[in-house]
Amino acid sequence: MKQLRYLSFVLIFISLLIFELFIGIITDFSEVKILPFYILIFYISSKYFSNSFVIAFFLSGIYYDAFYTSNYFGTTSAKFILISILINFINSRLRVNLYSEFILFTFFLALYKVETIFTSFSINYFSIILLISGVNYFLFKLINITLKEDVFKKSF
Amino acid sequence: MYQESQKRRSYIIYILFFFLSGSLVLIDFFSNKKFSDTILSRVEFLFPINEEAANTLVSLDFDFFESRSDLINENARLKNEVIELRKLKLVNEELINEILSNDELIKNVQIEDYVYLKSSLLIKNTTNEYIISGGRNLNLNINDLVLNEEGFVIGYLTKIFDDHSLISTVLNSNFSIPGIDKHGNEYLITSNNDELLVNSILINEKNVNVDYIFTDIAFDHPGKFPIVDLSQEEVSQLNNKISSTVKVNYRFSFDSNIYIVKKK
Repeated sequence: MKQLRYLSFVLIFISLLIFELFIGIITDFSEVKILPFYILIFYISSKYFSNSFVIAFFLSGIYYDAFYTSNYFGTTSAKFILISILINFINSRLRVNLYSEFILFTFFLALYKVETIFTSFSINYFSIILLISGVNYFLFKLINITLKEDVFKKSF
Repeated sequence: MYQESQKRRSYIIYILFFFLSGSLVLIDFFSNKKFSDTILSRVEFLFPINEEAANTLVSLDFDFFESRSDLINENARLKNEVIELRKLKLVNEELINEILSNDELIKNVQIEDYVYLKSSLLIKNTTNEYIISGGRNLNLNINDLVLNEEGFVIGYLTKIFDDHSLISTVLNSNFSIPGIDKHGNEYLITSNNDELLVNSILINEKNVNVDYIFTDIAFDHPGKFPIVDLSQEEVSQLNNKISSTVKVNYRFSFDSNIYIVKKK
């Protein structure tokens, strides 16, 4: 049962990663990118950080390196795992409010897009990161509210 | 207390997996990517886009109407015919577009001795590299040139998979290709995402009337294909060096017609 659960996490993570890539090509004309996989990393790391997701992070990174990039094997896995640990570590030590969470979200988004920042470094790109962060943070909050366990209780 | 120790355990497991990823990077780095290439050549089936499978699904004929009345059968048959006709119309439109783009291509490139394999864009990864259809199944190799509809070089293959390939394009900052002009001067063309930077590396004749810069067999390219047109651009000659900057206007889209050149 446990294995089945881990496998389903892996499949969900990989599907979302592919979905992010497809969105990327559809929104190629625009600077604003929607990053569902990053939202997933942030959501899981800040709300449900546990051992059960580490294999999913690891394998989705390996899958991505294997079929979509010319990176060395394991680079993306290392990035996903590092981002996940750091988000959880910092988030658990911060007094979480909207501003601090947004700053955290933006900082790790920059880390998530680190290859692009290195290859096309410009001050302008940081404003784009801020814009992407704003849009994705809004989506993150939306998902957060929707997935809250007591959402039905509140409505009654 | 229990939660705290659970969290610590999670951190340790995450850090272990981080080191595992790191060791994979190191193994791949020191084996000069042979490690990842070996694994890739065995597990290609994980890639989700498979045109053959998609076509098989589309062509599956579910005969649900066998036991129904003739009228329903007739309706179904007519419906199928309409669907077939619509498909034919789409195929027809695609073929017309292909003929038009092939005409464009013929204007600028040599046809004899070369095979132009039509490809299409599949996905763009997070490092702005594009993945196109066609890989080992079409006998493609690393550094094969990729042309656009007008016959200009827009990139080259950097990694080959079974049925898809990764390309470095004029929109990537790691794009770099040598070229030659009509005077025999050699250039290195690089990109900074928005512009192509053209700098001479060997000058035979000091002449800024460059027009086109081509690929050449001297650089292990299959032949002469235009990389950049400098006839409308400002070309400068300073310190025994010819240089120019050209804005990259090319943009990829799902319906971009791109071609991979192979020698016959």
